[in-house]
Amino acid sequence: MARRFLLLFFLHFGIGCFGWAQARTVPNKPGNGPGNTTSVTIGQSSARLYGPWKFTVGDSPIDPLTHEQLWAEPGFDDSGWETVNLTSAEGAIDPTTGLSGYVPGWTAKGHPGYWGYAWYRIRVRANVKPGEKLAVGGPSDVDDAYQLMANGVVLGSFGDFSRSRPTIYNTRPMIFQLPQQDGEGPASVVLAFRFWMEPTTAMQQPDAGGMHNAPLLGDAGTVAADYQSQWVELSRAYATTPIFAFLYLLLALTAFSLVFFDRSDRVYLWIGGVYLLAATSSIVLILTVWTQALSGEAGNVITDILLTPLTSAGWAMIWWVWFRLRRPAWLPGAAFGLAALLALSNSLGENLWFTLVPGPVSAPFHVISMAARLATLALLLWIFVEGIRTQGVEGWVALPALLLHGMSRFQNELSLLHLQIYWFPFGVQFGVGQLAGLLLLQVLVLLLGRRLYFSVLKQRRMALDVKQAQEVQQVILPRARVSLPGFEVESEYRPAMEVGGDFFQIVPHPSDGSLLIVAGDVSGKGLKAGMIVALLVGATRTAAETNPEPVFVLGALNRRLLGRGDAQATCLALCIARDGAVTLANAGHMPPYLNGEQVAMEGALPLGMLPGADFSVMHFNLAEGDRLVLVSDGIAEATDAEGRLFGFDRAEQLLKTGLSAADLATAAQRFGQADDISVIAVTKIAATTNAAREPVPEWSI
Amino acid sequence: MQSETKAHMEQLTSPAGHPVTVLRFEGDIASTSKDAVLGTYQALPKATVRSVLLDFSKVDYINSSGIALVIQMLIEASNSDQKVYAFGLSPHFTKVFTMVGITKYAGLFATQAEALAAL
Repeated sequence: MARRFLLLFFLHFGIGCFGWAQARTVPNKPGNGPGNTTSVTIGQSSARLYGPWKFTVGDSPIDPLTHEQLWAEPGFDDSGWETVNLTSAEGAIDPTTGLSGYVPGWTAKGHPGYWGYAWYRIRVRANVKPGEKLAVGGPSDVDDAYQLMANGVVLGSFGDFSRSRPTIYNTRPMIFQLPQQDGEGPASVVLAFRFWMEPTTAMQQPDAGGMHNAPLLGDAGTVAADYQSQWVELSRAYATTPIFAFLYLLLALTAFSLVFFDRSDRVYLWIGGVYLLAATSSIVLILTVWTQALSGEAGNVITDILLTPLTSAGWAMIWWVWFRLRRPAWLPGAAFGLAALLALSNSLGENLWFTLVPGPVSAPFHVISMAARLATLALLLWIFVEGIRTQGVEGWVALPALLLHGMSRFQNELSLLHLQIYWFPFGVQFGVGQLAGLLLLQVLVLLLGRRLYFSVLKQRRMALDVKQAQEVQQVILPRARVSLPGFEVESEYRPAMEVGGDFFQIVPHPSDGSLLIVAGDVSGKGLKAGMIVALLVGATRTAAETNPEPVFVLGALNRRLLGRGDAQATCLALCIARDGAVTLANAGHMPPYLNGEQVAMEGALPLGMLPGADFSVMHFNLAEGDRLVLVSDGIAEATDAEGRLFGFDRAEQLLKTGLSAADLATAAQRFGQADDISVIAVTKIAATTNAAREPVPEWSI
Repeated sequence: MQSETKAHMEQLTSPAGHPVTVLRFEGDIASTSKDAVLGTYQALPKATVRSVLLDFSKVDYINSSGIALVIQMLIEASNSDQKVYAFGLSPHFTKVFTMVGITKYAGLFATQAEALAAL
């Protein structure tokens, strides 16, 4: 079917309406025939049935004899019915679809607000040649569904009348074959249209009700050509809809893909979500106007109860996040609350469930629906006022499009006031909503580009900051291997991120040959932890210059961390005298391993938790050849893909093998690094061996 | 991928007949667990809750920031003269808790029954 529409579309714009070239239409203006009978001369031609039509509201009683609709029978006396003429004013078009030959429906002709069943009847006499097939082209612009009967026989229907509440579809051309006439001569036929209109239609459109253009009667081939032409007109009317669906989908995908560039900015998700809804809305419209995949009722429910309210709340959220507003915190909740209210009031106000809810109930809900839309618009305006106040230019750029968008939310009401909200350049429908959509699309593309540019710029600056912090950290941490009189020190540092939270300092005493080693682990990772490391390294150097005693150093570091929010660190300080006497103070750090065995010591709170905290202290001696290894918890807490920990036992086993600091770090890293890893190994060597080779260094760390 | 921390509160009675408030934690405990750990504890009425039992049996991982939160909670409990016991820790985290001095503020037990019996 879709391929056929496309073909028709191209036929129309490409080579013109070939069907019309073959058809010769004989206009049949009212009053052509005597009395209530219209005379038509049929060659290979057709005639528009402008009237006079007999019309009445209500539904036909059932004939007790035939059990058929009484008002469809050819002998029924309809002289008491109203007379209706379907001749349109010159150039009149449907205000919503732009279809030509438009005449107002029954709500504009003495039956305002009426919805339900209504009947049209016409008596036609046609001269038919033997074997000639006649057909009726159903009116292509109707509200909402109809059955067509000829001489009491049902020819077909537009819409499904098998249920007590007929299923309606968006208006479209229809073609019905008339039963073949026996013999040559005049054929008299009474055509009866039984119409059904939903209450929703009466509330959404001005002049609604029944036929908006005249049916066509004539040679089957000529009627078929007209039918094709009507389809082209209908296809052309909604030609922009798939273009908008494509544009909206494209913008949704673009917005979603921008998340990969800047995960911290949730506005891309909101924009993607709202434009996905907009694309869905366009697709629903395509399905309802060009196919019967969705009924009019289903289209109304999806659009008015689901998509429109969610889109309204979505727009509020887009600008709320866009302007980075935080107050009032209830605003997002209010936006979605109004969306829920809009969904409820739309469903009841548009009388979508008229079989469940009595008509009078629906009227107040229509007012509530308007109030909910006005409140949502006010909410959006408030967000914009705040946005303009804080962001300036972006708010001003988007404001006109937003106002037009807000106005488009009242399309039905404006339409009921007979204000023009649709224009039809080249027969293509273009309305306030589409104009607003197009403007918003352009504004958003512009603003998204601007936002992305600044976001990338910010990320580059941050990356540069991190790189510089990494370089600073590399400078303040000691070299991998240093030799000091009496000690061989090797160290390894593998941060989990660019900047690490582990730190260590090796401070040789300038005169007595002792060595102060401080190792720690700041809670957390990344730049924040790295900055605390910088603070602690500076504090360590300052404290060591005053007093290199481990307890004093830890006390100084503890004081430095206190009151700095959630800055805490485990830390271990040890001082090794030239003769190998070790004083060790610990604040929650992993105890060191002496020749592969973990030194047993009491636990203590990390730094930064309590003023005047007690540290665990112990003393022991290093003999020549003894190896003392300090590790951070990044070794034991390395985690493999199955979530298993490297563990203390595995670390201890490896340390017993005399593995170098680098090899131990590599083993944990290969297992699955989860945290910063630092390893410092101090080997006591003969003081003379080293001293002869290398003097006490004046190196700064 | 770090999993969200969940905390549930439960009231029990110890074998000795004392009312005990049990805080059961689930998931990973990290810097983002402040509300789940400290918030849940701080919501307890300090005047009536005298004994608190911390259940870590459904906790998968606790990082250094998470340990700092637990310590902060224990310091607050200690300042309020509350008795706090913990159970359900893996041997790895039992060792970590011991290293960071948590045992000075809370008794560590293997099971809930052992912890309740000690209260």
